Amino acid sequence: MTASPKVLAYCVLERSENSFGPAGVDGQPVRLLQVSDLVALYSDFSAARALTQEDALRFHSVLKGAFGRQAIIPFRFPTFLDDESSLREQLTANYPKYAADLVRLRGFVQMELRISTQQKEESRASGKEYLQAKSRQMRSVEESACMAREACADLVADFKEVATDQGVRLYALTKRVDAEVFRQRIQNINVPASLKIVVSGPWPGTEFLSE
Amino acid sequence: MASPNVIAIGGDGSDELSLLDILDHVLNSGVVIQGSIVISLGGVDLIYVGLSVVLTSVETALRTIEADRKRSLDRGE
Repeated sequence: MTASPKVLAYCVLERSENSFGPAGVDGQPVRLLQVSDLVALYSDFSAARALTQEDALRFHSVLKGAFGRQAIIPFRFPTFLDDESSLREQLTANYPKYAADLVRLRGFVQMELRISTQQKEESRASGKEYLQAKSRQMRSVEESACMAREACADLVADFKEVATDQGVRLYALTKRVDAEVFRQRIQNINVPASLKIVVSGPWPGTEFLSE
Repeated sequence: MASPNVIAIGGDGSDELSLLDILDHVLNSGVVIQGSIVISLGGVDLIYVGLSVVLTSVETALRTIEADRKRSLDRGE
């Protein structure tokens, strides 16, 4: 029951003089749909075919091109709408929320930390020992998350922390101009050998969008 | 000095974001619009449904359905 989508939506951003890349997914030109001072980027997607990894990467390239110059609100891949007027309806219906978020995110990017334990789970003599070891690992992850927060506190407008199976994901909203400094400070944190931190970004501030 | 346990990806002048990170972001981050569609990505069918997105492989979904059906048969329902 593969649907026959017509329009693939990429992102919403504030209107600007920037141009947006030559080609979107499937080699289609990236089009702009304007509602007041916001624009949505989209392209036609007429082919009734399966999407590929290459499509996802092309989608990312379009987002990257737009996000390289200003804040964007990306749509999750793949977001299909019937036609341009459906996209206009969505943009109009959500205009207040999108506009407020884009003003709030102006000049900001999201940096991400994945803090995880590197220790392989050893067999424990008892459930109690297992729980104690797990507790120690989580405490260590939390302490590193605290160190990361403290190291970059002056650079960050907002933090968000999400627990994962292996540790935590820490999202930081920082000014675009501070992204490299943020990265350097995280790289200089003294991390216990049992932990690993992966810092990535800059990304669009998706974790800091209003509900 | 940079800690050996801290790995930095992406950043100024580099294009080192891993494929996994990129796919994680395009598939899991961003605004969701109500819809119902079945897609295929990288040869794996994915189900993408509704406002709160459920993204799972069709294979997994079918296995779950089949397991439920077998349990029902075993119980004589």
